[in-house]
Amino acid sequence: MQLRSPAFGKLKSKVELAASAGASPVEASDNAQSISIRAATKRFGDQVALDSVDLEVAPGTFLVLLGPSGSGKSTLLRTIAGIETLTKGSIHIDDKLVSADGTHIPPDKRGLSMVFQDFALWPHLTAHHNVSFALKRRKLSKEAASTRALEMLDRVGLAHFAGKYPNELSGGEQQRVALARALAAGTGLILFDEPLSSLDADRREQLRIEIASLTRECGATSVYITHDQAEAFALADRIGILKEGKLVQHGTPEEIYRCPSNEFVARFTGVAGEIPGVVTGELETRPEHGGDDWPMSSIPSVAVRLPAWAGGKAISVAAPAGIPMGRAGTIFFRPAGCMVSSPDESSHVNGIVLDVAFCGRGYELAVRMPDGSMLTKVFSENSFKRGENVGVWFERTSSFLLPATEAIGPDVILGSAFGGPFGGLAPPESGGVIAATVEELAF
Amino acid sequence: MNSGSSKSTCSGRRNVVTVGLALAAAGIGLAACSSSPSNSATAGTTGGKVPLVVYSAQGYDKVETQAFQQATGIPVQLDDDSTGPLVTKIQAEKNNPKWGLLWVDGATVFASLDSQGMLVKNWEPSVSWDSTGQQSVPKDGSYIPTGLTMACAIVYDSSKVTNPPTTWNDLLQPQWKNEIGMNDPSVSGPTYPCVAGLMNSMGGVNQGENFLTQLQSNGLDVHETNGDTLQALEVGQIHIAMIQSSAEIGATLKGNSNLKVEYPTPVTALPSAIGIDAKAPATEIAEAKKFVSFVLSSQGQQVMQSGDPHGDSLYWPVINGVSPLPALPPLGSLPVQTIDPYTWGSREATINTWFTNNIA
Amino acid sequence: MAQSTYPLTLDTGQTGETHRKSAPGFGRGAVRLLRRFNLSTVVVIGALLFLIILPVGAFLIQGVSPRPFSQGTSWFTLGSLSQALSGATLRGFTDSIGVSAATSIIAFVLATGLAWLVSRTNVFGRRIWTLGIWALLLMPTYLMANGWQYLLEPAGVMQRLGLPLSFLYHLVFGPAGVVLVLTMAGLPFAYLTMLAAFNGLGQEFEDAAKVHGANRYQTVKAVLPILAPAVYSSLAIVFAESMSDFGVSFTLAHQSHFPMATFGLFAAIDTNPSNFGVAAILGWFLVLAAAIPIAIQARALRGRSYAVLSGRTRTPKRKELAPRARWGATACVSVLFIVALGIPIFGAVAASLLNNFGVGMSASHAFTLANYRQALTSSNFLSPILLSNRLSALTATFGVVLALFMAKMISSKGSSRFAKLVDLALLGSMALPGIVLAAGYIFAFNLPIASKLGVDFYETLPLLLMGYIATVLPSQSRLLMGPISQVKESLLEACRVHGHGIVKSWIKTVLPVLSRVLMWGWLYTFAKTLVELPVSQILYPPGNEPVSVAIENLTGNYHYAIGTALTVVTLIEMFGVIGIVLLAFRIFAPKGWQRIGGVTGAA
Repeated sequence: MQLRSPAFGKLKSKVELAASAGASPVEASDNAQSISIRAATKRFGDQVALDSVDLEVAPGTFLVLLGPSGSGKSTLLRTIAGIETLTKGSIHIDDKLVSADGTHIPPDKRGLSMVFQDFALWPHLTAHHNVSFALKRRKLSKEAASTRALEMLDRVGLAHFAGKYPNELSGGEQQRVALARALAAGTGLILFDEPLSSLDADRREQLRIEIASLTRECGATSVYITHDQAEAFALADRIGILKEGKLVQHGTPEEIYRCPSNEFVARFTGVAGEIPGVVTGELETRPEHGGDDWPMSSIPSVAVRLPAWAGGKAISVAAPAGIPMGRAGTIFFRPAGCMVSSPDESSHVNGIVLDVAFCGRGYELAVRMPDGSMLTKVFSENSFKRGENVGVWFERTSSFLLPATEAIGPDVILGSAFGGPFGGLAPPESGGVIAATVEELAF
Repeated sequence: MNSGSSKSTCSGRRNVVTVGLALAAAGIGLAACSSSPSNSATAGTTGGKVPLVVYSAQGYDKVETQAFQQATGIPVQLDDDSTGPLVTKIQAEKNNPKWGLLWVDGATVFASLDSQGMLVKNWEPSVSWDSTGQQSVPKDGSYIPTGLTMACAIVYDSSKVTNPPTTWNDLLQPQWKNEIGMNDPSVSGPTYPCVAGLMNSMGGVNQGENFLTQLQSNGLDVHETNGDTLQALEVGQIHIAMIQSSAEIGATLKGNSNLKVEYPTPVTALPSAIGIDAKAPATEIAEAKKFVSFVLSSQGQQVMQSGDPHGDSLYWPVINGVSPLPALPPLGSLPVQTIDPYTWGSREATINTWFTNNIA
Repeated sequence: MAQSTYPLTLDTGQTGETHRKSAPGFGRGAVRLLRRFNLSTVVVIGALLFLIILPVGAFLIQGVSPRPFSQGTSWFTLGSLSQALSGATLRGFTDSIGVSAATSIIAFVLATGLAWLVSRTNVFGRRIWTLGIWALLLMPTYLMANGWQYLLEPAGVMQRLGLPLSFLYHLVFGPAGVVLVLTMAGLPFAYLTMLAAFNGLGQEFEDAAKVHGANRYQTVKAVLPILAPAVYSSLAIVFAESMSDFGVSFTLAHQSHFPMATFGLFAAIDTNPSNFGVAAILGWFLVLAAAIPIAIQARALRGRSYAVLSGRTRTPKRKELAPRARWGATACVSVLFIVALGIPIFGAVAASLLNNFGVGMSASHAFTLANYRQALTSSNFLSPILLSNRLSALTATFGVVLALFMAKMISSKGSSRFAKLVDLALLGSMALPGIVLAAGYIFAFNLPIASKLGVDFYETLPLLLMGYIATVLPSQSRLLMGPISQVKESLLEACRVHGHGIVKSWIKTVLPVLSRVLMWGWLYTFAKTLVELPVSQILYPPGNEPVSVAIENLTGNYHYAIGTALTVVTLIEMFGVIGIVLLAFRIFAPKGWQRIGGVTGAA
């Protein structure tokens, strides 16, 4: 039941460009490593932390593993690092087998570096020595190591704090030292364990940009875990989404955003709201946003009828290929795809403004729909009053239908009958959830 | 600053290494020093010298073993303690004995070990016993007497006691309430023979227990050893002590001219003796025999008589040609009784336990 | 149907297969067990079994079954039990319980007062009192008892100085004196427990009570339950310490003909006739008497813990005492410390300086250094000190390293049931009196099977060393658990990930971070071992007397001159080593090391 995405390995263009930029003290590494994870399973006692995960990471990729806490992302990262052993399955770094049943290359022999959630700076060493200590494996002369450590600190803007001890630095500064430490050794693989999550919001943005730019400059393959979808979308070349130890979707940020494979991914990556709908017709697929990277044209669209309480209008949304007529499902709306104005005949749904939050360039609205459900984070340039009636329009590219199964049974698994892009992802346990959704459909 | 602290990291490592090395060295040193006896023990089985383990409660044991080691080159490992703990240790080690010979006061101890088959039998050094010696040598040759003292007599402070008790029963008089002290037989070697002697002379165990119970009601003060009881006497805590004759005579010689010794009828003969561990390796048994012969040689006797001049050196010799130290009264002038070591040895555990629970 | 953009691999079947294979089944538990058996686990289990569980088990089993070790003929008998429940042993046991109960209550009261004064008021000399508590913690009970004895016994220091004080002699040489010394010895345990509670008890609790209109009495009543766990702890620890103390029962109590349980055990294995069955029963009594209160306390703590010890707690205000109260309080604390430390030390020092001390009723009371001159020329003097130093240094080093292992294993996250078992074993062993442990060693390491296996340790220094390590291991491990659980796992992981092997990672990260704590642990172990009595007394190999045994033997044989001089020199040496090591750390340790763990280290 796992997604394996082997054929995207040639996405190096951005990275290669950055790496050839030259003059930077960040050594462009020509040793970016690939990772190949097969059927990786990890149990802690009776608890399954990783459940048969397959994942390929091409050299130079910035992969973000996204998932809620307990989804296994941290375990996956730690098995790559070699801090945890695998119960089953295997991990190769480049072509070297590093973890498998009976094989465990210790972390220090894997040639990687890591940035930790809690910084993990050695408290008895200065910032400078924290960086240079991690450089020891490079077997540089003392002076060279010292110089390089200083250069790295300079690169993260902390050269003047070289002599400070970690507890004399702010959280953001500590994490930048940790970043310098991870980059200094010039390894082909850098792991990030929620590096921003213990920082204040305003520091986060700044450091995120540094991480994105510096790691791409150095060209190493990066695996970055987070539970914050905005962070994931902002950083990633590719995103892997984990739930309960399983990799439920793996693709580019755009793929994940536009075509989440199931309700979990959809909700976890941010939706404004959900409305049930029934497929009334297949629309022709026509190019929309285009672009080579993202052939939108290949995403099929269908016409769906909204429920009676919403006015029963038909709208067009993205849907899995081959979805049959009359099939019921749930339509998800990304916040960016919802537009609000005064209600008129063309509005897809009418609702009442529940909350208006000023957010600088406009307003974020919460709109209550006739059935009592909500659309949240709906952007509008104009202000509305609380309690005001509004009409809502849904954009096709930011709305998608996830079909409910017709019959709930162990062998009928969502999407597998269609083989479409959204297929085959819901874990068997989610059958119950889907059933509930079907019952709630109020046609 | 940077180079400075980098240096400190380095020296930190050096410190760790140095400390590690030092500890390793110390560990090896310790292991070496403690394992050397066992090493040489292994060597001993092939004809070399093994350390002779001497368990002794004698005041002169240290000088005597040193002299022996010097004279013969045989290494001696001395465990000097009171008789009780030593015998206990031997019992505890029964499975796996460590001792080579035991040198304490009291034939009863040896009789008891002998009846458990723990002593080398039928061996006697080639010496010329005097009459005391001849009486003290057991029939089965399981232990060898090295000297004779009296298990207990009475020593008193004449500045506080004007009409000293002359018989054992005198001690029950109320005038001595809280003024009499003695030793604990479970710790002090000579004291069990003293208690056994009292019982013997009074007609049996029950009579003896009766006497001791009354003595206890009269405020008997029980200390661990001769030294403790004497100390109590010297500091005035008690005025009369029933302890080993050698300790009593020694105390009178120590400069406190007020102390006087009285020998009530009867006093019990207490041979000091050596028993050899039957389970010891042959080499060690041979060395133990050499030790016995050395102790009974004129050189050995000289050391015994000078090793503890205020205590155990004050014994009556058991071989011809050695005279007792001048402070000792002639043996013939004393009302001496001898108790049967085998009869009384078998009762030692029971009587000591009774004493611990009822008197001490 | 449109072609899929996403190449999919749907192999539900395979996944199902995997699930089935990994389902709980035959051999899975065994595999998991094997996985856990890494080196450190083996070290930990080995150490616990070899050092503590087997020897003590071998000893205790003899209480009912003397046959296995040739100490009797029956496989099961209650004879020893009934013998132990009579005569002197029974009295010793009831004496011990009575004394320990009294001690724990008095120590609690005194310690609470002291802790409150030091932590919550401006009483004078707070630093000195803290130092005094540490000195008291390191002071062995037998030396304290000796000090009182030197001072008060007939022909003792006071009499020689012309102050007979015989009423005090009769008071101190008896249960009251025993309680006095044990109370002072237990004081630090109670004090540190209560101090932690007071420090953790933030001002906000008092404020909250006052804000809601409570008067002083009601405030105390409201706040007191928060301290309840500390009160249990204090009582339990002091009770357990007093029950298992050997120093006082071996000296003062024994001299006063006041039998106590630990001495009863010692006498049962050391005097003639020996009775290992009775000793083992006494061992059971002692272990239970110490373990039960500690278990109750651990249980009581589990639910409530020191939840008040949160980072958010505000440091409480110090109460400004009125001048008269301030001086009064200071005077009271001074008296306490004079009784606890001053008098015994004065007793020992004065005795060591008196000419012919302890030899008869000498009238002269000239002060002289003759005792030290005599001591320094005696072979009985230097060798015990050197030996004890060597053994203590080794004990402290091995003990701390092993304890670090244990603490790490127990406190590492995802700790298994097995780790909890180890923790329980350690907690139980903390209640194990040294004398029971040592008695166990006599057996376990003198069995013929031990000889056959080449473990011929009986009556050797390595066995004594093992005994020392076993005595310190449980408490050290549990002491280190706190600090080590504060060392974030990621520090080590960062080291590993950045290319350093496991040993180097430990040396480079854990050791520096814990350096101060480890140093204190080392020093504490060193000092405690240097003057340790029960294990030394039972396990010392002939001819190799540790200093504690030498002091007691010399004193027991009235070689007061050397004995008192040895006491004083040993104490000076002990505190000297502590001072030197602390100074050396300050001078030589890298700056980074010194920045960490100051507070934890001192606590």
